[in-house]
Amino acid sequence: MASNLEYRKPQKTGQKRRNRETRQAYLFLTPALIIIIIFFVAAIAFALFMSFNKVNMFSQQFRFTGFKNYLNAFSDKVALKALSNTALFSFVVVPLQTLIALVIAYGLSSHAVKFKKTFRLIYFLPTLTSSAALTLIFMFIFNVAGPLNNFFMSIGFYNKPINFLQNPAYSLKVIMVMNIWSTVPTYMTIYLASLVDLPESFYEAAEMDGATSWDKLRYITVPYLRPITTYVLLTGIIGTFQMFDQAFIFSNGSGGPNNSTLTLALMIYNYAFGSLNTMGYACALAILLTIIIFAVSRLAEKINGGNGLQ
Amino acid sequence: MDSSLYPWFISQGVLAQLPKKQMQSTKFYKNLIAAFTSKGKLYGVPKDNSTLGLLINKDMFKKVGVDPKTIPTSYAGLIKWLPGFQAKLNKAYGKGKVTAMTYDQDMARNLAIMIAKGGKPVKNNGKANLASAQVVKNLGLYKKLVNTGAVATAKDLGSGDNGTAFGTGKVAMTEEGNWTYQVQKKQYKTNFEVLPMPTYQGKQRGMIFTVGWGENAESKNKKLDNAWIAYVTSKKEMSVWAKTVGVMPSRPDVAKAIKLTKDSNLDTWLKATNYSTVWQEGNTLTTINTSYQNFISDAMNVKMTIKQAMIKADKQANAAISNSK
Repeated sequence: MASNLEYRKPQKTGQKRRNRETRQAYLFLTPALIIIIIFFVAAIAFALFMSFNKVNMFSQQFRFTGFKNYLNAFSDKVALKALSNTALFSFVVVPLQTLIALVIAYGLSSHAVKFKKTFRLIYFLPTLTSSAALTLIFMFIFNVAGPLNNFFMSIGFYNKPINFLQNPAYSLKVIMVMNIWSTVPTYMTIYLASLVDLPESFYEAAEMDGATSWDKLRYITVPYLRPITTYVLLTGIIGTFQMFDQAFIFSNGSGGPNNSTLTLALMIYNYAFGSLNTMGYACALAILLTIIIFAVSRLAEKINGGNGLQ
Repeated sequence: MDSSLYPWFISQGVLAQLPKKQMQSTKFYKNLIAAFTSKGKLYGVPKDNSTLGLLINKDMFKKVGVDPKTIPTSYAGLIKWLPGFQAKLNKAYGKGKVTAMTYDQDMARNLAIMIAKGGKPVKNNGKANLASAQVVKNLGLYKKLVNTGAVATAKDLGSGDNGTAFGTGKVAMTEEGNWTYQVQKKQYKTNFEVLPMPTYQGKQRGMIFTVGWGENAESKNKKLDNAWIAYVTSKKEMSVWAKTVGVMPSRPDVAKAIKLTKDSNLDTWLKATNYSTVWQEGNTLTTINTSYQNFISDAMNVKMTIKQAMIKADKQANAAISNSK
């Protein structure tokens, strides 16, 4: 009996402490939770509600129209074009940005490289540039009389300058290059942070077995970084599917030339904030975009072999 | 409220009618007041306005040895004159360094040309009509300008807008508004002069951008609202506003009172108020302009005719307009 009592006492205080800690945890979570409920959950719920209505934001009138907005979206050829632009953009940009970030991070983590900090600083600079300024810089580089055309013509690559910005065949590709260039540093930093923790002994052991640097990358670094890669892929997919600012500045909001830079986010913006009462349609498109992003992200996660949390 | 959004506000029925007499509506530039008048009733009072002029870089003209007085005053004349001028610029600055002139791919700038000779880019029912014969014919002007090889958009030159391209010396002439006046003078220190807009089909044409005071139809204190609008748009108060902020007044008597007419450059912009078109055309304009910008560059740069591009623009704009029904 006595031993039983002795045993109970600390358990009770332990329970108390756990309760206190739980309360504390919720207390710490509350501010973020309130913000999330108001600005995310409520906003999403309202968007969902609006997507089933014809909305006049100005006079706050809502008229229930059922699935009309969704049906319109499925028969809208422009929406299809926007989706194919967005998907193409994502499928080109995400693998490339992930690969380049990984290779640069691997290079920078190697002990053989001198002036690592300088390199990191230089590689990180694009991230510090605002995307508005970045877009203008790229538009300068790629313009008809710009440095890129001059360079290619001076080495005899072609004779007549290419109108990268206004030729629909090139305009989206310019934004792709721009996006890759500006996002690689962030992902490189994330990879690098993880690579610092990779035990050197793995590499040493591999070297004894006669592994080349390619082998080390392929069989040690890449598998080790798999959870990070999942994170990079997911944020990459979400980011590219939501691409708006660069296309907006590039085309002055029109998605031109000839719909070549029209992304879903840009199309949603045009419908939501034009002078027509099409907020409901914009919300329907936004909900569809959310579903698409969710599906594609899950798929990418599966292909990459899980998120590393299990 | 912006003049281009006024028709939308009217269609929503949210504007209160304003007493013309109290607002001294006869004292304003006629076309500015007209922009806020529907069926003879006044719903807005223009706060100020901006117009376009042809800015020329005097230093560049001096360097290439061309007297600005010899610049043709019509687009037809410019189209013949520009290649020679571009050749001189190439000789003085090197090929591809300075372009003779900019143009815009934006209805907010092109509307005055598009409506010339009865052109009707927007139908009465609000549908896009960009591919109609006269509009396409009028837009041909820009293609002719581009074909001289001496005219490009600011974007083509790697600048965000005309003012930047002009200020940074990438272009010798540009059609721009009075908002760039102080920027050119103080920031870029450009030595420039403002000429009136060139003529097209025998008439000077440009755009006016204006913003007006409006009153909510459901306002509970209309008397006070009216008094406030009348006060801030009075001769005395508008003089203070225009002088302090450096905008162009919407009343000729204010322009005179604060001696804007004494500055020949500002006077050119002021005079443009008389011949220019207010940026306004029904409540579907934003959608139509978005579609126009989407397709016009194809007509200007790729092997597509203006007609083909505008048919596409019409189709897309009208689909979006139908979506809102």
